[in-house]
Amino acid sequence: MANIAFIGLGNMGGYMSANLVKAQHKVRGFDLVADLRAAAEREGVEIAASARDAVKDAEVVITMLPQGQHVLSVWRDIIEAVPAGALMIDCSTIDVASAREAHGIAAARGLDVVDAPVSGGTAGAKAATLTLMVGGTEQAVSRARPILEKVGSKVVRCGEAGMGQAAKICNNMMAGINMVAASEGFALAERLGLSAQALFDVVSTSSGQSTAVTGFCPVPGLVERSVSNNEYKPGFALALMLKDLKLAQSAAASVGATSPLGALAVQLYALHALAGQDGKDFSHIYTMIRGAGK
Amino acid sequence: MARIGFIGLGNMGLPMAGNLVKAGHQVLGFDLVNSNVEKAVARKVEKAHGAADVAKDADCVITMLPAGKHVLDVWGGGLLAAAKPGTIFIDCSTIDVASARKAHDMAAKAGMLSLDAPVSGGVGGAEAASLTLMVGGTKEAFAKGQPILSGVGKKVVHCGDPGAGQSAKICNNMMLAITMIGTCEAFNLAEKLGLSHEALFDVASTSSGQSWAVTTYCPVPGPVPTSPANNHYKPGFAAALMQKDLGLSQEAARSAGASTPMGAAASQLYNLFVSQGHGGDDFSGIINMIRGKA
Repeated sequence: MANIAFIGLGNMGGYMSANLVKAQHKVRGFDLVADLRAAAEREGVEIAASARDAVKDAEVVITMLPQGQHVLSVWRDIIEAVPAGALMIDCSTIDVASAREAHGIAAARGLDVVDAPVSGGTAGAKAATLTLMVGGTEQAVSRARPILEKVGSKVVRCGEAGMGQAAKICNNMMAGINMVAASEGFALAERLGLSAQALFDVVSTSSGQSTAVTGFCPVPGLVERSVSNNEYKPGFALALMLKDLKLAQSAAASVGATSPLGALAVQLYALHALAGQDGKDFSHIYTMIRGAGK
Repeated sequence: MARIGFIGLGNMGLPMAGNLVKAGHQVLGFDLVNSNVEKAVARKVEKAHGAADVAKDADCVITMLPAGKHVLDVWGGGLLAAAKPGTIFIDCSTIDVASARKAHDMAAKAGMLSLDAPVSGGVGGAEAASLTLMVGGTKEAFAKGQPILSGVGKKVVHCGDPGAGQSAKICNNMMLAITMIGTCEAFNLAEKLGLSHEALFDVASTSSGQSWAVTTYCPVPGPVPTSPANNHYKPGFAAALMQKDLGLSQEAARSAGASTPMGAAASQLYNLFVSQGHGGDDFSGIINMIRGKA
């Protein structure tokens, strides 16, 4: 069993570090927020005095932080304190450029490193059923795999440095666009007098099918497990979808990719967030598209 | 077996009329283009002397025409008047919802039963009698039309009242167009970021970004061997037809007061693609425009 340092014990990191403890790893954790440290301690995480202190004897270092700037500042702070030969894993969802920079920081010290953003939300984190999209050398990924398999059920190597982040934002950009597509289709159908059930029956087995329709249907009453049946309680919060869509656009801008619908999706989710709906599931965008209904 | 009048023996109408003959019906056909009529005669369709001629003594009249105005002109221009009361009129054209409803009204006033029954599946589906038919009309009309329509397609879905077939088709295809462009944007972004098509496909096909556009009709060659991307974007479903359906969806949205921001953008993007000379490409070929290579 490994000595693991875990930095960032929030909504996601709290559950993930607890699952590593359950898997018999020795986990030393740190977070700037005292309440989060206390909660992790109750789950069996040994609390360190600082991020640098947490990594002292670590064989594996995992970070789970809000943004690229946080990851880079923590990694720069701890990197000299990380023991030689340790494996660095960043599970945060951050921009591709920062992810590559983080790889560079670790590589300069000769450490193996992977970017491993997750999907599956807090429910997946709690149940250890996350999907992890992993970028890094084959050696680094094969070292990370047995650890990551304790926090998720699917670990996919997507390519070299940064490719985990790239896969995540490309996937989520499609998911964000598809949800608006589904919302517009159902809203138009309602106005035309076509029942949601009839449209669902056609679309779910036809060319308009997407997981936005058949998995997360934004119209209540059509898909049993959809959060639209539960007042759009996330699920995957609209604020997080907006964050990922913005990351996709910043990546697109930096590599010169055109993304007209991705850009429009950012604006639509931003409008809905502005109206105070960022804590709802992202499928709640349907209610904005629908307006007052027919 | 029924006596069927069939008007509009083009790319779609010709094989459909031929399949009705194969199903044992007596089919009398008409088209303004003589060569189309000759091809139909080769498929054992009987040649009529005029549009109204096909309706005399018919149990069922089917039209397959380019746009709403053609359907209204033909139905109102002597066809309904020539039929015996209680004849079932089926319009298989893809037309605007308002014209479809108007056609139903005209049929009802003339004492006829009627269905709107637009199809999906393209010329390949028409030849193989494997079309999907989305049907709007009364239960009585559907009960009468269903056995005939099952001779041209393998899936005949009753979507609701008059116009519901057209509504279902344009809602589905609007969702498809948006989803396809989103998929193209994501695969292009992946390319530019250095993420392989296969890696993005592996993640997206089992994740929140999944859609028919990804898993059945993938717009890049490789991941789905049967998709038109593997065959130089030969249709499949031509971009010009997608452009037409998006135009219909936006017309319906305007008249019904539905907001479709992405449907509007998709409509404009397909206008752009077609105006650059790509109307004959498969609609998934829009990835080349997104890449800047169309």
